[in-house]
Amino acid sequence: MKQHPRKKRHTPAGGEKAPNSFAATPTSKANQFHRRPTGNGKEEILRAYQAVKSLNALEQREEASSRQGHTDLAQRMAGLQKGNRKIRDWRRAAVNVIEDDVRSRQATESVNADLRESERRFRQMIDALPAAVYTTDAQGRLTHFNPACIEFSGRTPELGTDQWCVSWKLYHADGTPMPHDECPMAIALKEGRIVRGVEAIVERPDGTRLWFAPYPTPLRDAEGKTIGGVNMLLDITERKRAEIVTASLAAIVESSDDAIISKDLNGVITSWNKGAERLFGYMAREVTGKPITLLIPPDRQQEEPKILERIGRGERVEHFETVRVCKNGSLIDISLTISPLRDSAGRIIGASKIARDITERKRAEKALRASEERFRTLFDLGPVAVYSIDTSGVIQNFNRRAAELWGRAPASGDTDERFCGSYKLFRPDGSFMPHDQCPMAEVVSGKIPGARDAEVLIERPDGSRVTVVVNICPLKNEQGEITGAINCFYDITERKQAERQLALARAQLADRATQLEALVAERTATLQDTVSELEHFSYTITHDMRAPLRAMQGFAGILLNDAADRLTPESAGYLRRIMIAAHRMDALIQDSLQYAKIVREQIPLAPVEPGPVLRAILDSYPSLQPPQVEIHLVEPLPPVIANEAGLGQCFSNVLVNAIKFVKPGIVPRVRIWAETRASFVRFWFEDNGIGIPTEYQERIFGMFQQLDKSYEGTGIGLALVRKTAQRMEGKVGVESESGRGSRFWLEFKKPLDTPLH
Amino acid sequence: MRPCTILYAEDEPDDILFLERAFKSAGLPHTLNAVSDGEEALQYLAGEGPFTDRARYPLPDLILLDINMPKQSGLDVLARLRSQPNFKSLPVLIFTSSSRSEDMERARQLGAGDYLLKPSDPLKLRELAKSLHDRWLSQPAAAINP
Repeated sequence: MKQHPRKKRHTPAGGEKAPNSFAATPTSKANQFHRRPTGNGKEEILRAYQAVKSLNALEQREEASSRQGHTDLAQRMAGLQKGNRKIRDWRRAAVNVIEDDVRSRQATESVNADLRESERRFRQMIDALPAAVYTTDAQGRLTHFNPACIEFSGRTPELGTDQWCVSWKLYHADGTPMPHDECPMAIALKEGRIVRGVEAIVERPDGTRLWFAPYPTPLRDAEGKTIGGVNMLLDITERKRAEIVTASLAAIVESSDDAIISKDLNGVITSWNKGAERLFGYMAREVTGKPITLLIPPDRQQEEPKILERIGRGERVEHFETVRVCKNGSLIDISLTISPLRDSAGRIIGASKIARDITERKRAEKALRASEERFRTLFDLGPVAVYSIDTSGVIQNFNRRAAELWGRAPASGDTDERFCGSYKLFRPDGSFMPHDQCPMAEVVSGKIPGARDAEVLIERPDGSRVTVVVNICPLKNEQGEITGAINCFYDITERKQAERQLALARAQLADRATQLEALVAERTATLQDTVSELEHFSYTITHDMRAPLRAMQGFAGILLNDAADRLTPESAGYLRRIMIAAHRMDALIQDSLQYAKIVREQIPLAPVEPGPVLRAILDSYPSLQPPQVEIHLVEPLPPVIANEAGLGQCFSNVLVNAIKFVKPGIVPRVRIWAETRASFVRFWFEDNGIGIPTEYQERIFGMFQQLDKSYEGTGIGLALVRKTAQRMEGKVGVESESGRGSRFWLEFKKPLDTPLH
Repeated sequence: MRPCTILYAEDEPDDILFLERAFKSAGLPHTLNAVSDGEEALQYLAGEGPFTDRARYPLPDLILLDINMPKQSGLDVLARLRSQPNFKSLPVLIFTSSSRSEDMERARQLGAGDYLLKPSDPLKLRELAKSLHDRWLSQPAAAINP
């Protein structure tokens, strides 16, 4: 439709500006009409014009308000724009109609007809409006209402009766009742001014309520006197609903922890919620209107054009993981979901982005990966072979060691390989074991609950064999059903070999031991035989030697006895010397026999009282009795572990020795006493003999050692004492100085339960 | 003092001589009948072989056995004697130069009346003869079954 140029208007008194879309001034027009017989025409047209003006003004305001309005909600804009477009369209339609009418008025001679025609059209026009429009007189009484009023108010208004408003009941925006005479129309008429920006609630008789916005405008005459009013009631329920939804959405966006940002197609930030403030550190006012690239790190700048391109195509970008930079310069890992924003026509006008901080998730992922890595390293490089199968026996995982022991690496998940990755399997006894009968198969089928240290023989493709020990556990799900099994096995070939060798070695050792024992037994037997022989030999010899000695002694004795009167003192002397020599020889033989006996025989030991033994010796040897000798026993003489006979032998030999070696003419004196030590008793034999030089003190205990041949003796005596004492676990020794007598000592063990003396 | 017969089994003739002289010098009237080995000793007691004449070879009141003899040792004779009920009550003594404890033990086991060591000294031998008399020959004759 052609827009008429706007001309500067001649303002009539009263101040009301008339619409300037016509070539002729409406005042002149109005005046023209005013001259008609029907006085209403002018008024009516004026009212119509006013209505149109109102609509114009309305449109302008709408446009203004829509410009100012909330640009971040396309739906709302779209809704409003739709409304606006409708209104504009209606206005254009109305204006068109009006223009046509006015032109046709001008064309016709019949002003009345024209006027009536235009009246009719105005009414038609107003009645055609979907918005409720009504007019009142200056007192607010209803003069006209369009059909939309009926729908709006839920009742049929009554002309002349209804005042101020066509509605049933009114409420303020806050829900408080609004009396009709306080409604915006009433205020407009009473105060003679346009009232705008009010939102109120109308209640219909059926109880339904609507949000509406009234647009009351007082109508004035040429003098500017209020002659009535026109009001349009715009149903803003949808708008209000949209507002609530908007508010809710806005609240959701604001309260979301996620950063929700919207931008236009140039990438300029148009909205920024609290979540975004928290995440990036910028306040909404700092970034709104700035390019979104300020958040993108320099190395990722190419992401933005790519995103915008996809958005432009209507694509949604989901869970795009990237890095952004915050106000403080730190980098954060985020996941972006970007959707296109469309207007009501479906055109893409920008994008909304939801950014989620995934730093924690990334950290957890990294830690998990690291842990998995460690586990995998362990699994793979560990010295134990590990593999797992599912319930059908298909190998799921295996590690490097398993492949080594199998001698091959099966393809994971290969359905031809079941239960084991080996080439062939054998039981410990050497019998062939098919794969589906191996312990793994039995565990996964539930036949056995598990396997522990079970031996299996693996044959590798190259023919070599290894003995392994398997440990198998079933894998179960939460319901306890078997989902697979895992096997840890290790090579015991060496161990088995070692065991075999050990067994072999043991057997050999046992054999050897048996052999040696036999050998030892043999040798011992031989030795014993030899010993016995020697013993017998020595015994026989010495025994047989004694007989001739007896003969010598005996016959010499007989001669001395029987032929005493025929013998010269010399001859008698010789005979005596024969006897003495024979006696010496006999003594030697006897001592030797005794020594051999001591060496050979087992001597049983028991606690012995030395006192009685000594006294027995003293009693039985006349040579040990006074007045030849003086022997003094000092009590106590505590008991010792010994052998009675052996003890007697020792005592007598020592005593004989003690009394023997005195200077001629001296009466031998021996003092015997006991010294008790911790675990033994020492018997001292102190004599007044010639003493023993230090250098010979050890020698005298040797066999056939005689220091002074002028004293009679076999030279075995003390050797015998030493041997006998030894056999009784005792000791013998001497303390002496040449010329100062000797102190021989005999030491024997104390019986264990001896009370301390 | 009733003269007794002593049977002395001994392979050393010198020892026999010395014992005879010992009894004589002790003033004892006993007769010493000597055999030179164990076999003869048994024959004598059985009245066999050369010893059938009981007037010449009367049953002894005391038996002295040396151990080391040919054919049968003194201990063998002792064993044989002790198994024969006739001679159970007859005093049998071992008279030897062996001081071996196994000989002593065996003699004791076989029930020897005593185990005597042969002294070399003639004086000691005389004392031994006296103690033999005192111990074994000064009672009235033991009842012997013919």
